[in-house]
Amino acid sequence: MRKKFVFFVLIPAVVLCLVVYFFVDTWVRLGLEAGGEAAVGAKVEIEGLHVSLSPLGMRWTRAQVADPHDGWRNLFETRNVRFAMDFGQLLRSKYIIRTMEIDELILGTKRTTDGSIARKPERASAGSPGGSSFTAQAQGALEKTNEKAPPATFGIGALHLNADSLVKALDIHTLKHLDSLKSQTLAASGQWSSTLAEFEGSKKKLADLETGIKSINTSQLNSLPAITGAIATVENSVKGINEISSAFSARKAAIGADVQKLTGSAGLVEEIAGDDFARLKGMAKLPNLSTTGVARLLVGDETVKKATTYLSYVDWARAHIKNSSSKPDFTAPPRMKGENIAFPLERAYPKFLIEKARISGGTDSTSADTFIHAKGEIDNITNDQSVTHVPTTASLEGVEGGGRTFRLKAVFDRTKDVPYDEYEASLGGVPLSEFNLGKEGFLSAKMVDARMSSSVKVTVPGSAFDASARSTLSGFRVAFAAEPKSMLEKIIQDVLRDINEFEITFRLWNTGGNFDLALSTDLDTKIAERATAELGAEFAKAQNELKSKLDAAIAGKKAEVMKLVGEKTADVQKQLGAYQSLLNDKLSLADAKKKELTDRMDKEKNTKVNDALKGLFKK
Amino acid sequence: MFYLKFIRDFVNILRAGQTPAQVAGGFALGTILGLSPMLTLQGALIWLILLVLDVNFSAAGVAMTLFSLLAFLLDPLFHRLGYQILVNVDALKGVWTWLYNAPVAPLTRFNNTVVMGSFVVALLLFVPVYAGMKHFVVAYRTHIHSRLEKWKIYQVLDRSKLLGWYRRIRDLKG
Repeated sequence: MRKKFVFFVLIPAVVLCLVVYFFVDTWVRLGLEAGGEAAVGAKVEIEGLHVSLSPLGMRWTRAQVADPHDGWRNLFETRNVRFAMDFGQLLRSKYIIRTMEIDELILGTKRTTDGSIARKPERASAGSPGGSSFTAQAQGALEKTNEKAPPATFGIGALHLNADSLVKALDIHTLKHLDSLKSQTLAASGQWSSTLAEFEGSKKKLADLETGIKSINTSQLNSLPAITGAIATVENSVKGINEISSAFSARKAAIGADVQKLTGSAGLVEEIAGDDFARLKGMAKLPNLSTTGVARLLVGDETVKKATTYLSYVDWARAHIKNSSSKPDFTAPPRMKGENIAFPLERAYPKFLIEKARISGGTDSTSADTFIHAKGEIDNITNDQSVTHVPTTASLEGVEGGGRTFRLKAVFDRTKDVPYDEYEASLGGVPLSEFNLGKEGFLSAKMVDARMSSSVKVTVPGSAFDASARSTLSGFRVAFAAEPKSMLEKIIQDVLRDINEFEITFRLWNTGGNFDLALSTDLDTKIAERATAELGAEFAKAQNELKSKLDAAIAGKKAEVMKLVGEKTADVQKQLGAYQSLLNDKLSLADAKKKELTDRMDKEKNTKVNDALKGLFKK
Repeated sequence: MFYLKFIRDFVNILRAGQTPAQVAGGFALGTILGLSPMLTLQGALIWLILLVLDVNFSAAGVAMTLFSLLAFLLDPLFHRLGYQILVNVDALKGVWTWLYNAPVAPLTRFNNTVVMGSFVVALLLFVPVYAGMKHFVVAYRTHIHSRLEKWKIYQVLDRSKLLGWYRRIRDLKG
């Protein structure tokens, strides 16, 4: 045994251990703060951190994470946080936390010092706007959909219209369609005439064949060769008739297709006329009182804004909760590195895992008027769900100061190749500080003191997205920015003043590839009812006038073309029927003659056999 | 000069000083450290043994240098041997699985083919190296050195510059 070893190695080792023991708290705190600041981009401060060795874990009494966008406010703040780590797995460089308890997680507290730090330029990430994020994909679709109904289409004040001028100015597609139909009918009719002329030519051949068949007198045929020759003649006639018949069938089919096309095209006239009427109403600026256009104008902007915000959360989850594979890539081992052989694990662990994080907290009761307290759990927070085979789930329940509740559930499933996210939220009577209505230039207003009850479900399987939400806004008061500029605005303002509750139904999905938005409110019906009551008679009169003028403009040509189509198709069909009957008659005649001849031949054969037998017995 | 000191000490030790067992022990432990990759739990244990036991450091240093070079050359062989032991010996799979699930064993990196292959070779060589080195030291001290001095080539070399360097190294004062 070396005595020097004790002095030079063991004693320094013990001293080192003591130094580590006394300073480990500070080192870990500094490490966590530095890591947190790098991740968040703002100051992270931890107080009262203590690392315990048995069980291995840590706790702190307070942590505050500054908001990178507002240095004088915290993103969140926690009081006591405790967790223990699995020492055995730590030896494998795996950070496994069974239970983490986070007390008093408070959102948005004020800071006494500025928490902003100089930020490094951010690297582009999957969740950043402009990439293939849901936010970027949906934003265009949302805005496009929201702009579909411009306020100008609701100029009810323009009901005193000049229908004649409008009809003259209208590019009537029905007339163009009728002209086209007429041309097609005349062209088809010409073709049919030449085809029918060919049929007339073949009638002579049919008559010759008929004459040939009729000229055969069965009773005069007394020998088998004569009968056989007559049968051959009839069969040749049948062949000739069949040739004419097949040529006729082909042409008949072509004419039938023409007739069908013309009939279908004639059937479209009413539909095209309907479209013309809709465009005429558009020119007249007649409002469509039963559509969802009003809803889009009223709540579209605000809903789009909120939807975009929530979509960014979905993108964040997609970008930060990644799919990962436990299969290592095969590489030839470099020299002196070797290959690590994996053996079955009784229980495999990922690099990082928090099995259960218990959270309690809420908004800042000192700075917010309506304090919200929430508690819940987030389970299976990990860097690799393919190892744990369990998705990350979050469940949060909260109570607002006034006794209102909310519930939030989320699933982030990365256990399979295709990621799957699901969010469910229900909120009861949540106060909304402000809800903007309308657009600039059309019914610009703010809804204040509103309470919202909502239920939302969002599923995000792979690159697909489907979100549906139903919200009821109640107990509100509407502050209008200006006096109504049109009758429609006046109606809507009256309706909004009278009601104290309305419902918004919202669905946003991209299951077919592009994002689609469906947005409706029961305000539409209410506004339509009010508008109909106030404007019903005048509106109906204006609409009827427009309709009658348009009908008059197209009636003459429509009658003419429809008559032409009807006559031509009926005529050709009649002639085709007649020719078909003629062919059938000739074929029947030939068949009858053939049967007659066959019977005659059978009879002649029997006679010959009997005569032969009689001669045999006489001998 | 650190390595020259090691070589000088080693040459001196061969001639006199520590016992043949101490020299052979240091050399054999150095062999294990030289053959095995660094930063393993068993490597740390061997270092501890080397520090605790009164064995010759210079011999260990020389062995580590020599066998590190040898390990680099034999790396493909170690990889192949380690792979065979870890993958193809069915009887041992239960042991490996148990170790893989044990809390500390993964620090040995036993599931690495090169670590396993080289460590097995080092263990197999330990006793022969120890015995061979001990025998060699005894023999060197009793008659090899005196016999070498009588060789004509030795006398030629003795006057050569090479031996001049050797002596300078040998007689360096640490």
